[in-house]
Amino acid sequence: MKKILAMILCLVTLLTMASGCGSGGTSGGKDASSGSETGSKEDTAEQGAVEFMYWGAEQKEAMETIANDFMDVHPEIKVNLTQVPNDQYWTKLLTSIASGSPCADVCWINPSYAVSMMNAGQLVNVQDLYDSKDIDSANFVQAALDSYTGPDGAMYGVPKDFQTVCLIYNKNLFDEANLPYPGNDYTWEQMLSDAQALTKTEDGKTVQWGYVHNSSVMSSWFVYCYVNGGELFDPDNNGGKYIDTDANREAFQNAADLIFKYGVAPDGSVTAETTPDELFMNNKVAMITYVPSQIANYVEMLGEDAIGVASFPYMTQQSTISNNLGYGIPSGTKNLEAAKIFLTYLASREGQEPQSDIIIPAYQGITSKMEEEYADMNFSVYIDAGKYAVGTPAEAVSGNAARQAVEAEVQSIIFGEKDVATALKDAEESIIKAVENAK
Amino acid sequence: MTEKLKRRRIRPRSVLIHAVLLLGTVTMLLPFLWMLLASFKTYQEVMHIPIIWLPSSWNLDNYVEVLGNMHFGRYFFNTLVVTFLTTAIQLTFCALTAYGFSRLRFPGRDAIFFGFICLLMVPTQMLIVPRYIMMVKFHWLDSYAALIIPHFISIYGTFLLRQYFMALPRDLEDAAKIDGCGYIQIFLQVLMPLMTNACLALVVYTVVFNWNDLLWPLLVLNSEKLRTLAIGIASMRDEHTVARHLMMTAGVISTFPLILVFAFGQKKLIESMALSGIKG
Repeated sequence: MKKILAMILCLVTLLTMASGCGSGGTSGGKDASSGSETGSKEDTAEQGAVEFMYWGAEQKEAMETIANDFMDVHPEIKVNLTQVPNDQYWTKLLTSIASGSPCADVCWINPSYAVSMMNAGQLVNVQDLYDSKDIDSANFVQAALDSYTGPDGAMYGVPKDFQTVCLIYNKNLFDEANLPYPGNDYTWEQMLSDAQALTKTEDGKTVQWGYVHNSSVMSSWFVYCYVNGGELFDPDNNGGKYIDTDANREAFQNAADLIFKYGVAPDGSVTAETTPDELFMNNKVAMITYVPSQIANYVEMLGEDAIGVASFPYMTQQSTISNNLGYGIPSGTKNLEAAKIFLTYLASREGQEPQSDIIIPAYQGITSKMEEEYADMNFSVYIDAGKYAVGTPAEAVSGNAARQAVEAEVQSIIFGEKDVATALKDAEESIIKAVENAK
Repeated sequence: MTEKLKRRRIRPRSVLIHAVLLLGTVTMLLPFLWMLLASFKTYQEVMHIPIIWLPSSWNLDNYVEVLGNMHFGRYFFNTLVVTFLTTAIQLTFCALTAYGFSRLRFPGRDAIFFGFICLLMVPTQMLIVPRYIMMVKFHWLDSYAALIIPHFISIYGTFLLRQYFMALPRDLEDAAKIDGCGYIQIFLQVLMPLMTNACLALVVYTVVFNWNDLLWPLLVLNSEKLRTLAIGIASMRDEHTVARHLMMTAGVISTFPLILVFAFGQKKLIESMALSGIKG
């Protein structure tokens, strides 16, 4: 009898909770929403709530400031913020879009996913906001805008930040080797010769490397192609090839030579055990290429005086990639009007400025606090690189599938399992298959 | 006598067995030890190569930061509520279903059970979108209901308990019937008391699964207020890096209750696995 009672009690508790919490409804009106972040503005919400989703815990404060400032200007719209871990962000977003009820009205997007989302009609066309000059495209660099331009030439998002890839080096190790610091016109040959001087061996074992290939291909192998005059994933401008061209093959060969011919960069077996980041933070590697947001961690480990920044080492032409995040509106949103008002605000100077503490905003003319804080390490290279940077290579094919194909082949190169020619040939085939599947 | 004992102690076979067991123990414990030690370290110490095993000072700064800044109390409460309710209800439903499948005779019983088992083969990923749509239609998104109700019944749990029911002798039921017991009485007063081991095993499985589940809660929850521990910990990641010392601290805090559950339930868990011939 007692057991039956216990069961009934459990059920009653559960159903009470279910009905109590469920009444808030879906992503529209919610009484149980993230009150701590937006509580004070609740009473004023008339036009509805905008669900705003992002990843990146480090930008939480900036996003909250933006949302609160927006609600001061537009008290009729309430913004609910949700921060989702990076790894699960796309699963959550894309699952909810597939179900026809997106979990966000406005969300962060990145160039790789933007391509597949635009192709699949999962992002709202916001060209009207640009046409009416509510959003002025002149405020953003072209590379950042390109990332969110759809196959039909219309805009599907707003640039959020502008992160170019440059060279970050360890000044202490350069000082030890009596080498001059790299500058704004750093060539691949100079980098190779410095890396040779910075590589140390003890008892036949390398204990310090001059350079390391970043594990993010977007910050390393992709850029190698562009600094050698190559082009990625755009067969129309690339002799009908996605990746397997002479220029790219040569760029990849130069990069592979750093490991296998000159021994100045660790191979896959080393970086599988200790990430390139960790190697750099522990004085085991003197140079790495990365986006600026990584600098704060390097400074925390090595101290501000130990870090320097230089332009991306180039082979035949100065270039780099900008990996700029953006804001977009997922298709199927129930609150399009309010979402567009918020998106417009995000594209304004006021909507971009709060990010400047932690990142370089996409809005031109806003000085990032990092630029002032890290002036001694030649940080302005990151800003200057905007002049010659290309957008994230994600044209014509889902950037994600293409990137994954290249990532897999890069792994086989750095582990010495495949030569560059075979790896690129295989990557080309994988991308062709991915494109066909996408059709 | 003592000579005999001595001889037994140095038997090579026993040395070998213990060496293997010791190796297994160290392999299992090392990551946990690393997590525990890292929770006292600074960022610099955690990232240092070669590994620094012991923290330079044993202070609770990381615990203060994690517990103070990250709504951890709230996450803990949510996880506890969801885990408790899910486990209690799942156990009830699974036991009833398993009893039906193993002891009652009704037309199509085996066919239905076969269909049930077939569902075990469907990968969870396939069910995510349909389930999500159901949550949208029921207006359950962003509520405890979405976390708890879809886990009311577990096929795996039903299968596990059915195997146990099958192993109980029919004579017990017959005797109870002769004494005038109905089905409910037989279920509650005769069979369930003999099922303690199996039920405990299911409790351990369900608790561990729900405590650590990340994907489903993340999909259906938006509000900070309703988040579970697993989401809280995963959300600590920055875009490019992980504050590993804080992550490990959060890991220690969230693992502690699970260790308690295992400490009390491990014997039953192993027994039940041996009997049902399956493993999780």
